[in-house]
Amino acid sequence: MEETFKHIITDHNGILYKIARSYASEQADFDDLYQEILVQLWQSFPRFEGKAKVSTWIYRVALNTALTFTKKKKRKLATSQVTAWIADTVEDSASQLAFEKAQQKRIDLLYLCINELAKEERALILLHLEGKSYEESAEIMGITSNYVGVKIMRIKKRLFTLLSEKGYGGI
Amino acid sequence: MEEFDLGAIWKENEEGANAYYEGLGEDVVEIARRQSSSVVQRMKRNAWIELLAGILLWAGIFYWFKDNPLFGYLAGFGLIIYLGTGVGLYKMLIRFREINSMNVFDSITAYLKLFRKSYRRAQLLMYVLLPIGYTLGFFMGFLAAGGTIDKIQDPWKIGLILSISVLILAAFIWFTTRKYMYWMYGQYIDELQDIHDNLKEEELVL
Repeated sequence: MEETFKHIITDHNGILYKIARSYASEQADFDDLYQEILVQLWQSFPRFEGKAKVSTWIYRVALNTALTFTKKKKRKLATSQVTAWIADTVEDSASQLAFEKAQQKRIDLLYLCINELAKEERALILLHLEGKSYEESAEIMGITSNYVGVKIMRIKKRLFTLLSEKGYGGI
Repeated sequence: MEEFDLGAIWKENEEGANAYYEGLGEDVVEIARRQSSSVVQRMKRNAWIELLAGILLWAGIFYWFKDNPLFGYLAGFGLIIYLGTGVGLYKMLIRFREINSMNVFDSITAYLKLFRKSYRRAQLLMYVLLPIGYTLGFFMGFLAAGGTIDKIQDPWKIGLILSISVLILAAFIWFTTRKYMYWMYGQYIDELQDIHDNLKEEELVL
C-alpha cells in the first residue's frame, strides 16, 4: 500500500504543488498546506476504490483540503532543508539566463494573481489551466459543465485584468 | 494577452513542482502519516476531550454527591444530555471521514452541516444543561449543608432569586457561547458559506 501511494504521489506531485501555491501566499503556509494535503490523501487512500480516476480523487481531496485550510503559525514541515533548498534555487536563478529569470517571474506573477481570486475561482481556473475539460471540472467541483464554462469565462477576464495591472506585459 | 500564454507558463510549473518534491528530504509516507490539523480533525479531538472530561466530571460528582437525595435527578439528566449529544457528535464525525473525497460542492455542504450540528449541540449543552444544572446544584448544596425542603420558609422568594440568577446566567451563557463558537468555527462557516453560495449561484445564472 505504501509503495502504491508513493508511486501515485510521485506521478501526481505537480497537482499538490500547484494547489498549495494557489492557496498559500507564504512559504510557511505553503509547507503546511502541502503536508496537510499529503496527510489527507493518505487517510483517504484506503477508501479510494478506483471508481473515479486517480487524478480526480487527488484533485478532490487536495481542493477540499485547500478550501478549508487556514494559516497556522506554530507547525511547519519538519524539513528545514526544503526552505534552504528553495533559497538556494532562487539564488542560483540570479545567475541564470535572462529568459529563465523572466520565466520564473511570470510564474510567480501568475500565482500572485491567482491568489487574489476567490477560493472557488482559484479551483476552477486551476483545473482549466491543468487542461481539464468542463465535464471533468464539473465532476470534481460538483456543479454542471455549463456553469463551469460560464465561470471560467468570467474568471479568465478577471485574471487577465489582474495580470495587466501587475505588469505582465512588461516581463 | 492570449490564453495560450498562460497555458505555456502553467506547464513550466512542473519543474518547480518536481524540484520541490525531490527536495522534501524525507519519505513521503512518513510526512503523510503525521497528525492532521484539519478542522474536522480538531472537531474530532474536541469531541474526544469533551467525552472524556464528561466521564471524569460525572465520576467526581458521583464520588462527592452520591448520598445526596437529588443525585438521581442530576445523574439521570446529565446522562441523557451526555449520551444524546456527545455520542451523536462522535458518530457523525466518524461518518464524515469521507468528507474530503467528495466533490467540492458536496464536501462544503457536508462541512456546513457538520458545523451547524456542532453549533446546535454546543447551544443545547450551554442553554439547557447549565441553567438546570445550576438549579439542581443550588438545591443539592442546600441539602448537603444540612437543609431540608420543609425548612424552606419562603419558597416564592427562593424561586424568584433562582429565576433571576438563572436568567442572568442564561444571558451570560448565550453571549459567551456565541463568541466561543464564532472564535472556534466562525471563520470556517462564513468562508464556506460564501463558497457554497457562489457555487450554487448557477441556478440564477443558467
